[in-house]
Amino acid sequence: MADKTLPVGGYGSREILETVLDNSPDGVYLHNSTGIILYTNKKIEELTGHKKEEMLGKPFLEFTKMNVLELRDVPKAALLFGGALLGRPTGPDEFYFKRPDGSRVPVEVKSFPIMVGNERLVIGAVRDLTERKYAMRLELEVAERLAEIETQKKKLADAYEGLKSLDEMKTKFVQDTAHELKTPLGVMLVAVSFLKKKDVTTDPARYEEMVDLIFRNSQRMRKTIEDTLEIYKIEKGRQYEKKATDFDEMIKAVTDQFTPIARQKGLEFGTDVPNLPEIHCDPKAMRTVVENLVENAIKYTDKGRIDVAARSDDGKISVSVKDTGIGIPEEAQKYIFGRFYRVSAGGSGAGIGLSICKHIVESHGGTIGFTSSPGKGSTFEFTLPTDHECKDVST
Amino acid sequence: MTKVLIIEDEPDIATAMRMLLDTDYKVEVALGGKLGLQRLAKTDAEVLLLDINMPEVSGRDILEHMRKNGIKLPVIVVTAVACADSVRNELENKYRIDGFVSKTYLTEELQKEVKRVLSKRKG
Repeated sequence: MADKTLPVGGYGSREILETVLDNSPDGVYLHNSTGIILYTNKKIEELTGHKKEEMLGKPFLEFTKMNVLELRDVPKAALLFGGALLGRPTGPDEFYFKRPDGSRVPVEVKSFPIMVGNERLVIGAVRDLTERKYAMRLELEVAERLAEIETQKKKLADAYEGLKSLDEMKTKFVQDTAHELKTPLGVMLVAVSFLKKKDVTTDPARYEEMVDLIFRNSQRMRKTIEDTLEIYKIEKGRQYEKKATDFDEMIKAVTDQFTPIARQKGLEFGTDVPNLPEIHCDPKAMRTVVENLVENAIKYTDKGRIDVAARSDDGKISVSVKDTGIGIPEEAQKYIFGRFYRVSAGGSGAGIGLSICKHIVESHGGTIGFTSSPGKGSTFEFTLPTDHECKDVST
Repeated sequence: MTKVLIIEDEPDIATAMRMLLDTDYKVEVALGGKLGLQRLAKTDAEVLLLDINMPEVSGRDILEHMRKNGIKLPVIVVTAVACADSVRNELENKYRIDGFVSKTYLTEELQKEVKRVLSKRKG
Protein backbone atom coordinates (compact mmCIF):
# COMPACT_ATOMS: atom_id res chain seq x y z
CA MET A 1 0.00 0.00 0.00
CA ALA A 2 1.44 3.27 -1.07
CA ASP A 3 2.16 5.65 1.82
CA LYS A 4 0.47 8.92 0.98
CA THR A 5 1.59 10.76 4.14
CA LEU A 6 5.33 11.12 4.73
CA PRO A 7 8.24 9.30 3.22
CA VAL A 8 9.61 7.30 6.12
CA GLY A 9 13.36 7.11 6.06
CA GLY A 10 15.45 7.65 3.06
CA TYR A 11 15.79 10.80 1.02
CA GLY A 12 13.54 13.66 1.85
CA SER A 13 12.09 12.69 5.19
CA ARG A 14 14.40 14.88 7.33
CA GLU A 15 14.14 17.85 4.94
CA ILE A 16 10.36 17.65 4.96
CA LEU A 17 10.19 17.48 8.74
CA GLU A 18 12.64 20.35 9.15
CA THR A 19 10.72 22.46 6.65
CA VAL A 20 7.49 21.79 8.53
CA LEU A 21 9.07 22.58 11.90
CA ASP A 22 10.86 25.68 10.60
CA ASN A 23 7.54 27.04 9.43
CA SER A 24 5.84 26.40 12.74
CA PRO A 25 4.60 29.59 14.40
CA ASP A 26 6.03 28.26 17.70
CA GLY A 27 9.60 27.60 18.61
CA VAL A 28 10.40 23.89 18.91
CA TYR A 29 13.43 22.33 20.61
CA LEU A 30 14.50 18.82 21.45
CA HIS A 31 16.95 17.68 24.09
CA ASN A 32 17.97 14.32 25.39
CA SER A 33 17.76 12.93 28.90
CA THR A 34 21.06 14.55 29.88
CA GLY A 35 19.87 17.93 28.63
CA ILE A 36 21.91 18.19 25.49
CA ILE A 37 20.10 20.18 22.83
CA LEU A 38 19.55 18.09 19.74
CA TYR A 39 17.36 20.31 17.67
CA THR A 40 15.99 23.85 17.46
CA ASN A 41 13.79 25.27 14.70
CA LYS A 42 14.03 28.66 13.05
CA LYS A 43 11.55 30.25 15.40
CA ILE A 44 13.86 29.47 18.34
CA GLU A 45 16.59 31.38 16.50
CA GLU A 46 14.24 34.29 16.07
CA LEU A 47 13.09 34.25 19.70
CA THR A 48 16.58 33.93 21.24
CA GLY A 49 18.52 35.89 18.65
CA HIS A 50 21.08 33.05 18.50
CA LYS A 51 21.92 30.77 15.59
CA LYS A 52 21.08 27.12 16.04
CA GLU A 53 24.77 26.29 15.61
CA GLU A 54 25.41 28.16 18.87
CA MET A 55 22.89 25.95 20.68
CA LEU A 56 23.06 22.48 19.19
CA GLY A 57 25.10 19.92 21.14
CA LYS A 58 25.19 22.19 24.20
CA PRO A 59 23.45 21.54 27.54
CA PHE A 60 19.99 23.07 27.88
CA LEU A 61 21.14 25.40 30.59
CA GLU A 62 23.60 26.94 28.15
CA PHE A 63 20.75 29.37 27.58
CA THR A 64 21.65 30.81 30.96
CA LYS A 65 25.22 31.35 29.96
CA MET A 66 24.12 32.92 26.71
CA ASN A 67 22.11 35.37 28.77
CA VAL A 68 18.95 34.31 27.01
CA LEU A 69 17.20 33.98 30.35
CA GLU A 70 16.88 36.78 32.81
CA LEU A 71 18.62 36.10 36.10
CA ARG A 72 15.36 36.06 38.08
CA ASP A 73 13.98 33.40 35.71
CA VAL A 74 16.93 30.99 36.14
CA PRO A 75 15.53 29.11 39.20
CA LYS A 76 12.21 28.64 37.40
CA ALA A 77 14.03 27.39 34.28
CA ALA A 78 16.10 25.00 36.41
CA LEU A 79 12.93 23.54 37.92
CA LEU A 80 11.39 23.17 34.48
CA PHE A 81 14.50 21.52 33.18
CA GLY A 82 14.72 19.24 36.23
CA GLY A 83 11.10 18.20 35.74
CA ALA A 84 11.69 17.53 32.06
CA LEU A 85 14.77 15.41 32.79
CA LEU A 86 12.72 13.35 35.20
CA GLY A 87 10.29 12.70 32.37
CA ARG A 88 7.49 14.98 33.55
CA PRO A 89 5.52 17.27 31.27
CA THR A 90 6.14 20.90 32.27
CA GLY A 91 4.53 24.27 31.79
CA PRO A 92 3.11 26.36 30.52
CA ASP A 93 5.73 28.64 32.15
CA GLU A 94 6.26 32.23 31.21
CA PHE A 95 9.69 33.76 30.68
CA TYR A 96 11.29 36.70 29.01
CA PHE A 97 13.97 35.89 26.44
CA LYS A 98 16.71 38.45 26.08
CA ARG A 99 18.21 38.87 22.63
CA PRO A 100 21.79 40.02 22.01
CA ASP A 101 20.40 43.27 20.53
CA GLY A 102 18.84 44.04 23.95
CA SER A 103 15.21 43.42 22.97
CA ARG A 104 13.02 41.24 25.19
CA VAL A 105 10.43 38.71 24.09
CA PRO A 106 7.75 37.31 26.37
CA VAL A 107 7.42 33.55 25.84
CA GLU A 108 5.49 30.58 27.16
CA VAL A 109 7.35 27.26 27.39
CA LYS A 110 5.79 23.80 27.52
CA SER A 111 7.70 20.53 27.37
CA PHE A 112 6.88 16.86 27.51
CA PRO A 113 8.81 13.57 27.22
CA ILE A 114 8.73 11.41 24.13
CA MET A 115 10.29 8.00 23.46
CA VAL A 116 12.29 7.57 20.31
CA GLY A 117 13.30 3.94 20.18
CA ASN A 118 14.72 3.27 23.61
CA GLU A 119 15.78 6.80 24.23
CA ARG A 120 13.72 9.25 26.18
CA LEU A 121 13.86 12.71 24.69
CA VAL A 122 12.18 15.94 25.69
CA ILE A 123 10.41 18.08 23.15
CA GLY A 124 9.62 21.69 24.03
CA ALA A 125 7.38 24.28 22.45
CA VAL A 126 8.06 28.00 22.92
CA ARG A 127 5.23 30.36 22.05
CA ASP A 128 5.82 34.02 21.35
CA LEU A 129 3.54 35.97 23.72
CA THR A 130 4.33 39.41 22.32
CA GLU A 131 0.96 39.79 20.64
CA ARG A 132 -0.95 38.20 23.49
CA LYS A 133 0.81 40.46 26.01
CA TYR A 134 0.23 43.45 23.80
CA ALA A 135 -3.45 42.54 23.50
CA MET A 136 -3.66 42.04 27.27
CA ARG A 137 -1.94 45.35 27.92
CA LEU A 138 -4.27 46.95 25.45
CA GLU A 139 -7.25 45.35 27.13
CA LEU A 140 -5.99 46.55 30.50
CA GLU A 141 -5.44 50.05 29.15
CA VAL A 142 -8.89 50.04 27.58
CA ALA A 143 -10.40 48.87 30.88
CA GLU A 144 -8.51 51.58 32.75
CA ARG A 145 -9.59 54.21 30.25
CA LEU A 146 -13.17 52.99 30.46
CA ALA A 147 -13.06 53.18 34.24
CA GLU A 148 -11.61 56.67 33.96
CA ILE A 149 -14.31 57.66 31.47
CA GLU A 150 -16.95 56.24 33.82
CA THR A 151 -15.51 58.29 36.69
CA GLN A 152 -15.45 61.42 34.52
CA LYS A 153 -18.97 60.67 33.31
CA LYS A 154 -20.15 60.38 36.90
CA LYS A 155 -18.39 63.64 37.83
CA LEU A 156 -19.93 65.32 34.81
CA ALA A 157 -23.38 63.95 35.67
CA ASP A 158 -22.99 65.21 39.26
CA ALA A 159 -21.83 68.61 38.05
CA TYR A 160 -24.71 68.69 35.56
CA GLU A 161 -27.21 67.83 38.29
CA GLY A 162 -25.73 70.55 40.51
CA LEU A 163 -25.90 73.13 37.72
CA LYS A 164 -29.38 72.00 36.72
CA SER A 165 -30.66 72.37 40.23
CA LEU A 166 -28.96 75.80 40.54
CA ASP A 167 -30.47 76.77 37.20
CA GLU A 168 -33.92 75.62 38.32
CA MET A 169 -33.50 77.60 41.53
CA LYS A 170 -32.47 80.67 39.57
CA THR A 171 -35.42 80.27 37.20
CA LYS A 172 -37.76 79.96 40.15
CA PHE A 173 -36.06 82.95 41.75
CA VAL A 174 -36.72 85.05 38.65
CA GLN A 175 -40.34 83.86 38.56
CA ASP A 176 -40.79 84.59 42.27
CA THR A 177 -39.20 88.00 41.87
CA ALA A 178 -41.60 88.76 39.02
CA HIS A 179 -44.44 87.59 41.28
CA GLU A 180 -43.16 89.84 44.06
CA LEU A 181 -43.21 92.82 41.72
CA LYS A 182 -46.52 92.05 40.03
CA THR A 183 -48.57 92.02 43.22
CA PRO A 184 -47.71 95.53 44.51
CA LEU A 185 -47.76 96.82 40.96
CA GLY A 186 -51.33 95.57 40.54
CA VAL A 187 -52.34 97.28 43.79
CA MET A 188 -50.69 100.55 42.79
CA LEU A 189 -52.37 100.51 39.39
CA VAL A 190 -55.75 100.12 41.07
CA ALA A 191 -55.03 103.05 43.40
CA VAL A 192 -53.71 105.23 40.57
CA SER A 193 -56.74 104.44 38.40
CA PHE A 194 -58.96 105.72 41.23
CA LEU A 195 -56.84 108.83 41.75
CA LYS A 196 -57.20 109.61 38.06
CA LYS A 197 -60.94 109.92 38.58
CA LYS A 198 -61.45 113.45 39.89
CA ASP A 199 -64.34 112.61 42.21
CA VAL A 200 -62.08 110.66 44.57
CA THR A 201 -60.74 113.89 46.03
CA THR A 202 -64.22 114.54 47.43
CA ASP A 203 -63.80 111.49 49.65
CA PRO A 204 -60.76 112.31 51.82
CA ALA A 205 -60.72 108.96 53.63
CA ARG A 206 -60.62 106.99 50.39
CA TYR A 207 -58.09 109.44 48.92
CA GLU A 208 -55.79 108.80 51.89
CA GLU A 209 -56.28 105.06 51.56
CA MET A 210 -55.15 105.25 47.91
CA VAL A 211 -52.07 107.29 48.72
CA ASP A 212 -51.18 104.88 51.55
CA LEU A 213 -51.55 101.92 49.19
CA ILE A 214 -49.27 103.51 46.62
CA PHE A 215 -46.69 104.46 49.22
CA ARG A 216 -46.61 101.06 50.94
CA ASN A 217 -46.54 99.08 47.74
CA SER A 218 -43.90 101.22 46.07
CA GLN A 219 -41.76 100.68 49.17
CA ARG A 220 -42.42 96.96 48.88
CA MET A 221 -41.33 97.00 45.25
CA ARG A 222 -38.21 98.94 46.15
CA LYS A 223 -37.36 96.39 48.83
CA THR A 224 -37.82 93.49 46.39
CA ILE A 225 -35.56 95.19 43.84
CA GLU A 226 -32.94 96.06 46.47
CA ASP A 227 -32.95 92.52 47.86
CA THR A 228 -32.66 91.06 44.37
CA LEU A 229 -29.72 93.33 43.55
CA GLU A 230 -28.16 92.47 46.91
CA ILE A 231 -28.30 88.77 46.01
CA TYR A 232 -26.64 89.64 42.71
CA LYS A 233 -23.89 91.59 44.54
CA ILE A 234 -23.34 88.66 46.92
CA GLU A 235 -23.00 86.35 43.92
CA LYS A 236 -20.34 88.68 42.51
CA GLY A 237 -18.42 88.82 45.80
CA ARG A 238 -19.96 91.53 48.00
CA GLN A 239 -17.63 93.61 50.18
CA TYR A 240 -18.73 95.30 53.42
CA GLU A 241 -17.61 98.63 54.86
CA LYS A 242 -17.00 97.93 58.52
CA LYS A 243 -16.69 100.48 61.26
CA ALA A 244 -17.32 100.76 65.01
CA THR A 245 -21.09 100.59 65.45
CA ASP A 246 -23.35 101.27 68.41
CA PHE A 247 -25.33 98.07 68.08
CA ASP A 248 -28.03 98.55 70.73
CA GLU A 249 -28.85 101.99 69.26
CA MET A 250 -29.25 100.41 65.88
CA ILE A 251 -31.55 97.65 67.20
CA LYS A 252 -33.64 100.22 69.05
CA ALA A 253 -34.00 102.29 65.86
CA VAL A 254 -35.32 99.20 64.06
CA THR A 255 -37.74 98.25 66.85
CA ASP A 256 -39.01 101.86 66.96
CA GLN A 257 -39.60 101.64 63.22
CA PHE A 258 -41.56 98.38 63.43
CA THR A 259 -43.45 98.69 66.73
CA PRO A 260 -46.30 100.72 65.19
CA ILE A 261 -46.58 98.29 62.26
CA ALA A 262 -46.85 95.33 64.64
CA ARG A 263 -49.40 97.11 66.83
CA GLN A 264 -51.44 98.03 63.76
CA LYS A 265 -51.70 94.29 63.14
CA GLY A 266 -52.83 93.78 66.74
CA LEU A 267 -49.54 92.26 67.89
CA GLU A 268 -47.69 92.91 71.12
CA PHE A 269 -44.13 94.07 70.54
CA GLY A 270 -41.56 93.54 73.30
CA THR A 271 -37.92 94.63 73.36
CA ASP A 272 -35.21 93.68 75.81
CA VAL A 273 -32.02 95.31 74.57
CA PRO A 274 -29.35 96.27 77.15
CA ASN A 275 -26.26 98.36 76.41
CA LEU A 276 -24.02 96.36 74.09
CA PRO A 277 -20.33 96.78 73.30
CA GLU A 278 -19.47 98.50 70.03
CA ILE A 279 -19.25 96.09 67.15
CA HIS A 280 -16.94 96.43 64.19
CA CYS A 281 -19.37 95.92 61.34
CA ASP A 282 -21.09 97.39 58.31
CA PRO A 283 -23.92 99.30 60.07
CA LYS A 284 -26.18 99.48 57.03
CA ALA A 285 -25.84 95.76 56.32
CA MET A 286 -26.40 94.85 59.98
CA ARG A 287 -29.49 97.02 60.11
CA THR A 288 -30.77 95.10 57.08
CA VAL A 289 -30.34 91.85 59.04
CA VAL A 290 -32.34 93.08 62.04
CA GLU A 291 -34.98 94.69 59.79
CA ASN A 292 -35.43 91.52 57.78
CA LEU A 293 -35.85 89.34 60.86
CA VAL A 294 -38.35 91.71 62.49
CA GLU A 295 -40.25 92.27 59.25
CA ASN A 296 -40.57 88.52 58.63
CA ALA A 297 -41.73 87.96 62.20
CA ILE A 298 -44.52 90.53 61.80
CA LYS A 299 -45.45 89.27 58.34
CA TYR A 300 -45.91 85.69 59.49
CA THR A 301 -47.63 86.39 62.78
CA ASP A 302 -51.36 87.04 62.88
CA LYS A 303 -51.85 86.97 66.61
CA GLY A 304 -49.69 87.02 69.72
CA ARG A 305 -46.40 88.82 70.03
CA ILE A 306 -42.97 89.63 68.69
CA ASP A 307 -40.03 89.85 71.07
CA VAL A 308 -36.66 91.31 70.16
CA ALA A 309 -33.92 90.61 72.69
CA ALA A 310 -30.16 91.08 72.80
CA ARG A 311 -27.40 90.09 75.20
CA SER A 312 -23.67 90.24 75.43
CA ASP A 313 -21.51 87.54 76.93
CA ASP A 314 -18.41 85.48 76.33
CA GLY A 315 -16.91 87.76 73.68
CA LYS A 316 -20.01 87.85 71.55
CA ILE A 317 -23.40 89.48 71.28
CA SER A 318 -26.60 87.62 70.44
CA VAL A 319 -29.74 89.11 68.99
CA SER A 320 -32.98 87.13 68.82
CA VAL A 321 -36.35 87.80 67.23
CA LYS A 322 -39.13 85.57 68.52
CA ASP A 323 -42.66 85.38 67.16
CA THR A 324 -45.86 83.43 67.77
CA GLY A 325 -46.59 83.12 64.06
CA ILE A 326 -47.26 80.32 61.60
CA GLY A 327 -43.74 78.89 61.86
CA ILE A 328 -41.75 77.41 58.99
CA PRO A 329 -43.02 74.24 57.30
CA GLU A 330 -40.68 71.37 58.11
CA GLU A 331 -39.96 70.64 54.44
CA ALA A 332 -38.86 74.27 53.94
CA GLN A 333 -36.60 74.48 56.99
CA LYS A 334 -33.43 73.15 55.39
CA TYR A 335 -33.70 75.55 52.44
CA ILE A 336 -34.61 78.65 54.37
CA PHE A 337 -31.17 80.28 54.08
CA GLY A 338 -30.63 79.15 50.46
CA ARG A 339 -29.38 81.83 48.09
CA PHE A 340 -32.27 81.60 45.65
CA TYR A 341 -34.91 80.25 47.93
CA ARG A 342 -38.15 81.88 49.03
CA VAL A 343 -40.74 80.19 51.15
CA SER A 344 -43.60 80.06 48.69
CA ALA A 345 -46.47 80.85 50.94
CA GLY A 346 -47.83 84.09 49.67
CA GLY A 347 -46.77 87.13 51.61
CA SER A 348 -44.15 89.41 50.17
CA GLY A 349 -40.44 88.90 49.72
CA ALA A 350 -40.40 85.96 52.08
CA GLY A 351 -37.18 84.05 52.44
CA ILE A 352 -34.97 86.04 50.09
CA GLY A 353 -33.98 88.34 52.95
CA LEU A 354 -32.80 85.39 55.01
CA SER A 355 -30.09 84.34 52.57
CA ILE A 356 -28.89 87.95 52.58
CA CYS A 357 -28.94 87.96 56.42
CA LYS A 358 -26.90 84.76 56.52
CA HIS A 359 -24.30 86.16 54.15
CA ILE A 360 -23.99 89.42 56.06
CA VAL A 361 -23.71 87.76 59.48
CA GLU A 362 -21.19 85.16 58.31
CA SER A 363 -19.13 87.82 56.54
CA HIS A 364 -18.77 89.45 59.96
CA GLY A 365 -17.57 86.23 61.60
CA GLY A 366 -20.97 85.47 63.15
CA THR A 367 -23.55 82.73 62.98
CA ILE A 368 -27.30 82.70 62.36
CA GLY A 369 -29.91 80.04 63.05
CA PHE A 370 -33.50 79.42 64.01
CA THR A 371 -35.90 77.17 65.82
CA SER A 372 -39.44 76.84 64.55
CA SER A 373 -42.61 74.90 65.30
CA PRO A 374 -45.17 75.04 62.52
CA GLY A 375 -48.32 76.64 63.91
CA LYS A 376 -46.59 77.90 67.05
CA GLY A 377 -43.89 80.32 65.95
CA SER A 378 -40.22 80.82 65.17
CA THR A 379 -37.16 82.29 66.86
CA PHE A 380 -34.30 83.58 64.75
CA GLU A 381 -31.04 84.36 66.49
CA PHE A 382 -27.69 85.63 65.28
CA THR A 383 -24.43 86.14 67.11
CA LEU A 384 -21.44 88.34 66.33
CA PRO A 385 -17.99 88.34 67.93
CA THR A 386 -17.24 91.51 69.94
CA ASP A 387 -13.47 91.22 69.58
CA HIS A 388 -13.35 92.45 65.99
CA GLU A 389 -10.76 95.16 65.36
CA CYS A 390 -12.44 98.58 65.57
CA LYS A 391 -9.46 100.67 64.43
CA ASP A 392 -9.69 100.77 60.66
CA VAL A 393 -12.42 100.85 58.12
CA SER A 394 -11.74 97.70 56.18
CA THR A 395 -13.74 96.17 53.42
CA MET B 1 -77.08 93.86 46.01
CA THR B 2 -75.09 90.87 44.73
CA LYS B 3 -72.51 89.65 47.20
CA VAL B 4 -68.87 88.85 46.35
CA LEU B 5 -66.53 86.93 48.67
CA ILE B 6 -62.78 87.61 48.49
CA ILE B 7 -60.33 85.13 50.01
CA GLU B 8 -56.92 86.78 49.90
CA ASP B 9 -54.15 86.84 52.50
CA GLU B 10 -52.54 90.11 51.45
CA PRO B 11 -54.47 93.03 52.92
CA ASP B 12 -53.46 95.51 50.21
CA ILE B 13 -54.58 93.26 47.37
CA ALA B 14 -57.83 92.59 49.22
CA THR B 15 -58.30 96.36 49.68
CA ALA B 16 -57.61 97.01 45.99
CA MET B 17 -60.13 94.36 44.97
CA ARG B 18 -62.71 95.70 47.40
CA MET B 19 -62.24 99.23 46.02
CA LEU B 20 -62.79 98.01 42.47
CA LEU B 21 -65.99 96.18 43.36
CA ASP B 22 -67.72 97.88 46.29
CA THR B 23 -69.70 100.37 44.23
CA ASP B 24 -71.53 97.57 42.38
CA TYR B 25 -71.41 94.67 44.84
CA LYS B 26 -71.51 93.91 48.52
CA VAL B 27 -67.94 92.80 49.22
CA GLU B 28 -66.99 90.36 51.94
CA VAL B 29 -63.25 89.81 52.65
CA ALA B 30 -61.62 86.83 54.37
CA LEU B 31 -57.94 87.57 54.99
CA GLY B 32 -56.27 84.22 54.35
CA GLY B 33 -57.29 80.65 53.62
CA LYS B 34 -58.10 79.68 57.18
CA LEU B 35 -60.66 82.49 57.61
CA GLY B 36 -61.82 81.79 54.06
CA LEU B 37 -62.84 78.24 54.94
CA GLN B 38 -64.87 79.49 57.90
CA ARG B 39 -66.56 82.16 55.77
CA LEU B 40 -67.36 79.71 52.97
CA ALA B 41 -69.52 77.66 55.33
CA LYS B 42 -71.96 80.49 55.90
CA THR B 43 -71.61 82.87 52.98
CA ASP B 44 -74.45 83.86 50.70
CA ALA B 45 -72.04 85.34 48.13
CA GLU B 46 -72.72 84.58 44.48
CA VAL B 47 -69.10 84.56 43.35
CA LEU B 48 -65.77 83.81 45.03
CA LEU B 49 -62.54 85.65 44.24
CA LEU B 50 -59.75 83.35 45.35
CA ASP B 51 -56.01 83.80 45.76
CA ILE B 52 -53.88 80.69 45.17
CA ASN B 53 -50.60 81.30 47.01
CA MET B 54 -51.56 81.56 50.66
CA PRO B 55 -49.76 80.13 53.70
CA GLU B 56 -51.33 77.31 55.73
CA VAL B 57 -54.56 76.95 53.74
CA SER B 58 -53.88 77.66 50.06
CA GLY B 59 -56.32 78.45 47.26
CA ARG B 60 -55.93 74.87 46.01
CA ASP B 61 -56.90 73.59 49.48
CA ILE B 62 -60.04 75.71 49.29
CA LEU B 63 -60.94 74.44 45.80
CA GLU B 64 -60.40 70.88 47.02
CA HIS B 65 -62.63 71.56 50.05
CA MET B 66 -65.38 73.00 47.80
CA ARG B 67 -65.21 70.00 45.47
CA LYS B 68 -65.38 67.48 48.29
CA ASN B 69 -68.26 69.27 49.99
CA GLY B 70 -70.20 70.02 46.81
CA ILE B 71 -70.03 73.82 47.24
CA LYS B 72 -71.15 75.12 43.84
CA LEU B 73 -70.11 78.78 44.18
CA PRO B 74 -68.53 80.15 40.93
CA VAL B 75 -64.81 80.81 41.44
CA ILE B 76 -62.57 83.43 39.87
CA VAL B 77 -58.92 82.78 40.66
CA VAL B 78 -56.91 85.97 41.22
CA THR B 79 -53.21 85.31 41.10
CA ALA B 80 -49.76 86.69 40.38
CA VAL B 81 -48.15 83.34 39.62
CA ALA B 82 -45.40 83.36 36.99
CA CYS B 83 -46.76 80.61 34.70
CA ALA B 84 -50.30 81.93 34.63
CA ASP B 85 -51.38 79.95 31.54
CA SER B 86 -50.33 76.57 32.84
CA VAL B 87 -51.82 77.26 36.28
CA ARG B 88 -55.04 78.45 34.66
CA ASN B 89 -55.26 75.30 32.50
CA GLU B 90 -54.53 73.08 35.45
CA LEU B 91 -57.19 74.72 37.65
CA GLU B 92 -59.76 74.79 34.85
CA ASN B 93 -59.25 71.09 34.18
CA LYS B 94 -59.09 70.00 37.77
CA TYR B 95 -61.60 72.26 39.51
CA ARG B 96 -63.65 73.73 36.65
CA ILE B 97 -62.94 77.28 37.84
CA ASP B 98 -65.06 79.94 36.15
CA GLY B 99 -62.62 82.79 35.70
CA PHE B 100 -59.01 83.86 36.02
CA VAL B 101 -57.54 87.32 36.70
CA SER B 102 -53.90 88.36 36.93
CA LYS B 103 -53.06 90.58 39.89
CA THR B 104 -51.12 92.86 37.57
CA TYR B 105 -54.29 93.55 35.56
CA LEU B 106 -56.81 93.99 38.36
CA THR B 107 -57.91 97.40 37.08
CA GLU B 108 -58.55 96.17 33.58
CA GLU B 109 -59.85 92.66 34.24
CA LEU B 110 -61.44 92.22 37.65
CA GLN B 111 -64.74 94.08 37.18
CA LYS B 112 -65.24 92.63 33.68
CA GLU B 113 -64.54 89.09 34.84
CA VAL B 114 -66.92 89.32 37.83
CA LYS B 115 -69.63 90.72 35.55
CA ARG B 116 -69.04 88.00 32.97
CA VAL B 117 -69.15 85.15 35.47
CA LEU B 118 -72.27 86.48 37.20
CA SER B 119 -74.15 87.08 33.92
CA LYS B 120 -73.19 83.60 32.70
CA ARG B 121 -74.61 82.18 35.88
CA LYS B 122 -77.81 84.12 35.67
CA GLY B 123 -78.18 83.72 31.92
